Amino acid sequence: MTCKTLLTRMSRYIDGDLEEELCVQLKKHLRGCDRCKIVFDTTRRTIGFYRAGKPYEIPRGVHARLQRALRRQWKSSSQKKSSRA
Amino acid sequence: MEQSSYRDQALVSKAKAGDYPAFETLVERYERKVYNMAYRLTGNREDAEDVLQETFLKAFQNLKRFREESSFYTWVMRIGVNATLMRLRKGVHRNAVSLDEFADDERNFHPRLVVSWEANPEQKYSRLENEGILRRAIQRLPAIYRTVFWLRDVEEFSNEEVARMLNLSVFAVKSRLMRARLELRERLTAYYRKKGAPHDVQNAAHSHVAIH
Repeated sequence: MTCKTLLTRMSRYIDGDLEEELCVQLKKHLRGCDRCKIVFDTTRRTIGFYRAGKPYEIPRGVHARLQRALRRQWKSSSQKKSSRA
Repeated sequence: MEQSSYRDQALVSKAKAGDYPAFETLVERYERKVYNMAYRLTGNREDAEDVLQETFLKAFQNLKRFREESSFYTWVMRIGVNATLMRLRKGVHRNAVSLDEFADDERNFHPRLVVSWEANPEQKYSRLENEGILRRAIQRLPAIYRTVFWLRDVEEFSNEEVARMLNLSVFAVKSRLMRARLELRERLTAYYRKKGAPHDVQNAAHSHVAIH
């Protein structure tokens, strides 16, 4: 496996989506190629960093505005229904 | 996940039958997910608020038409992601980067900055600085790459789910994900590289990336 083909397959390898035989070839290449090893390690860590990010909390006012908008919508739709009935 | 989608099904049935508190429970369960996705992808709080409202209003209006072929979570995120992309398209003038594509071909991409990272590189910066680094890096990706990366790697939707959400082929999702990961890796390397480590910079233009 060349460095170029490793690069095109690395993402699928990270996802566990690469055929067994290609995984073996990829791992073998990584053992012998410092450059690709660095790219591989730092790519995995990149994903880890984003995944570990703390989610934002919804500001209270935003939550309240959403609730009000939805309740208005609900009321107007249930009024329509009862006027049709 | 399985269990929560089972509980969601019961809430969806109730909400469809006109039980408003059941719908509100679903909103409370997923509003943070939608808000975070919109905030990260637009990089803007006002846009995130608008997307949040638009998404759940739309979900409410279309609930009867939700055929439950996917989980409620996937369905509502699909509405959210499309609202986000619409907003990004409208605001494209604010962004210097292209919306959908990188200028070069996927197959011609090769890593530019190849250097190891520190063991705990985030310790070089404060929590806020680290957040800023991650935020700026993702903001520089074209919108569709940013979106694919977020849905696959942070929200952990499958390739197939993301393909359906974005009307892309599974192949297109995979290739965009690969490129997004590699581009983000480049940008984070500029900050998290090991001091004094030997490195291999292929493109001279990237050999003096500013570290703020």
